[in-house]
Amino acid sequence: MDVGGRQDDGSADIALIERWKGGDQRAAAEIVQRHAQALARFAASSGEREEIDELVQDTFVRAFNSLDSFRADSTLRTWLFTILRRLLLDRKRAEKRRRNQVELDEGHAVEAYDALDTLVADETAIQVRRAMERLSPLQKEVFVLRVTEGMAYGEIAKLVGSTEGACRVHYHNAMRSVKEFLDDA
Amino acid sequence: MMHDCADGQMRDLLPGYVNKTLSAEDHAAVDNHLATCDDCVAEIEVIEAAVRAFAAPQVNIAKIVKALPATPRSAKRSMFAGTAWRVAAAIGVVLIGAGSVFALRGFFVPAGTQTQTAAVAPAPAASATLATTEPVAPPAPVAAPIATAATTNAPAASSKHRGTTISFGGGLSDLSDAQLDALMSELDALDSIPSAEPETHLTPIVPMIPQADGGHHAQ
Ligand SMILES: [Zn+2]
Repeated sequence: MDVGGRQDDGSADIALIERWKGGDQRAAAEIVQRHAQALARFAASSGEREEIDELVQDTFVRAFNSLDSFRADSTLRTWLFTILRRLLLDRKRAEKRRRNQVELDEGHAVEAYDALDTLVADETAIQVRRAMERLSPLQKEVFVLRVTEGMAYGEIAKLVGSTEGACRVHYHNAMRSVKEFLDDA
Repeated sequence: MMHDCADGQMRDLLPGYVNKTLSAEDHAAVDNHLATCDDCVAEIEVIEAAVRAFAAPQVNIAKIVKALPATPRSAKRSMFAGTAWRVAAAIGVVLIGAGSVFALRGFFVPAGTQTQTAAVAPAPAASATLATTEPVAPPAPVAAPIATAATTNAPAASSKHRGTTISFGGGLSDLSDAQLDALMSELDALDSIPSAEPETHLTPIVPMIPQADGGHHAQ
């Protein structure tokens, strides 16, 4: 039921990784080119305001430093997202600690955000962002990965540590909630 | 009032449709469906708005690429080249200075002014890596780190290199003549590349020492 996932991702990335391992540094540039913007979107959607560049860079540096541990049972993109998500969680934990607040619930990486409102030109998009605030963190994360990346449920499930079926339910519940919000607006 | 389309399978294709990640076949199927389904058209509009809502600032690709580690192959090769140069340079020095195999061996006992060269011998990590390296590949585009391995004193010694390699044991003597030929021609090709740091040609060996973090250079 891995419907609607990226069709082009897996094999091209594997080939690029092999080229990089074989000594072609330009393959690394291509890999970055393919995924950097998606990672930046994910970081931004999780509420990061500053240092998105640094987060994305850190993700790639970590990935390339442990590329040997990458197993092709998920796509490279999902693996990169997993690394970034861990970085985001670490940051949020540190932030929480600083604020001396309650422990962050495991697996709920995504929080309130309004960082990029200045980038959002149109009213409908702003409304969608507002609608996100009514979703659970997990619903929101699934929804964002699904709509902005077209990521398959199976890949999302690996990323957030859930099942395909559960992610599908999260997505459709989120979509219904967003529609209701837009209807009421 | 927005409703959910009853065709769940079709709805599952919509995000991929917006992100243009569907197969041509699926994309066409969605196109056909949208012609008759207002619910899915409305949902497409929500998805498109969400995509706009989560736009992110343009990341600096070049800066990220610069921060990445060198490829394992180029790291190996630069270390390889660096070792070969030092070996070749050592032979050159020995041939000029002493000219005997005994002197050659003595040369590798760390002693005073020759500490630089002594660093060649106790580098098991380097030898191990060399031994497991597959036959030297046809020269790929020369990566930058290799250039720093080229030193000005070595090329003169390179022609004497092949005959005396056997004295050194370890990585280099494990190579076949053909591999050495390939190596040497590759190194020769570097002669014309100016070295940015002629006095620091030992440095490439440092990142090859296995690191606590399970360094990626070691396979
Ligand atoms: Zn429909």
